[in-house]
Amino acid sequence: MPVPSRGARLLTPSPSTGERMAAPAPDPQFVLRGARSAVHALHFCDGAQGRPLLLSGSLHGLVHVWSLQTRRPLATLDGHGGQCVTWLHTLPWGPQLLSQGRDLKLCLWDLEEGRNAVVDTVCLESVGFCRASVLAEAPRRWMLAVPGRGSDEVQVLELPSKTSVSCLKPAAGARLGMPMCLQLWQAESSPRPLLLAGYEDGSLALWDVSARKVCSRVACHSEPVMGLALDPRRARGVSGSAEKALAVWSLEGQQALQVCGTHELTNPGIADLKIRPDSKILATAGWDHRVRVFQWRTMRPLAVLAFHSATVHCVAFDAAGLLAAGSGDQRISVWSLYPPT
Amino acid sequence: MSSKVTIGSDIGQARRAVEQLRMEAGIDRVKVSKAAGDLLQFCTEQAKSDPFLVGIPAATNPFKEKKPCAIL
Repeated sequence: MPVPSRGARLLTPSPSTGERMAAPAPDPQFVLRGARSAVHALHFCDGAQGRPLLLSGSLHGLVHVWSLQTRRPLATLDGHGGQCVTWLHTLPWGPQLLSQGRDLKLCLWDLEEGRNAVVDTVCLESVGFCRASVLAEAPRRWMLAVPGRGSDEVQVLELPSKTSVSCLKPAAGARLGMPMCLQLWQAESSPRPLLLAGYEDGSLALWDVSARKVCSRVACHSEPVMGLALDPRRARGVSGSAEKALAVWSLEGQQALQVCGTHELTNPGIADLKIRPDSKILATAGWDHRVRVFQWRTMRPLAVLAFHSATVHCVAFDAAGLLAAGSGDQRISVWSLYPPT
Repeated sequence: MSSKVTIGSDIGQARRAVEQLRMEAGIDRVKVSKAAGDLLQFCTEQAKSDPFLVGIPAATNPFKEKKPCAIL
């Protein structure tokens, strides 16, 4: 049973004694209602004419495009046949959207000026819940990592041609289990793309995609890794799992993974984590209905946001510093905390 | 998993909710790879005896048409 807490808390140092005391955290800036089922995926993007948009994927297969100015859905995309949408991502060029669903399809949408059409589909072969990852190089050639056909495989495809670049299969004795979360990454120093994958056995592996071998592997958690977030600037990241601890790790020389430390939470289970684009703040989505906010550099807890009444499935950050959280209670809460200066 | 916590005015209701949640929290978790594999194996094994896939033979179907309709 989750440990109850007295509402949302902001942990600020008391001006008189300097000790940290719990002050009531601000309410969400606004709440988006109307998703009509549990929210499992969130993604901020810029719409046409500079309108900021929030995309949400729901349990019943709908992708809602929310306007952050009117706070109403502008459009609803129904492309996954009633099956849950688990991941959303927009490509940096033009209004193109990627949506991954439990119907084993990854759809590419064209959202140009009023159009809501699927232009391409990638068929997925894994029945797991692992979200895909994109490395967007150029419109003519970009990479997509998805869980593969074998239960422990990761397939890296080149799009839009949909040709297979690599099939990353661990050695027979590795017993990593299913891949649970993926992150494609290209360091500035080397042109070789790397893939970070969290597995069911609680370990993280760093793959060299072209060479198809594991550069480094580290055991972070005792339970399956549920989500990971990478800060490419600092070559550090954090992962959450079904247990109580978050693991902070670094990529030494961008080749060797090393656990720097762990951070114990009050309740077990993290569904998602994201680091804000300016690398200042980390937000975690908890099974205990709470969003926890940390200072990323030091992992100092900043706030516990207890707004939702069901598991928080996903969190997302805006370039402007807005934090959105999607939950099983069918609501999306949007918070403005510690706005970037 | 998405059980809403209702603050029932009835103590009995609250007690039952706690019992249910306690039971749910005590369920052993199975890894997705094992559960998915088991489900797929069960479905493929039972596919031949699934009336939705194989169909019901006309002899044993109680709802088949006895006499064809004629429009007068």
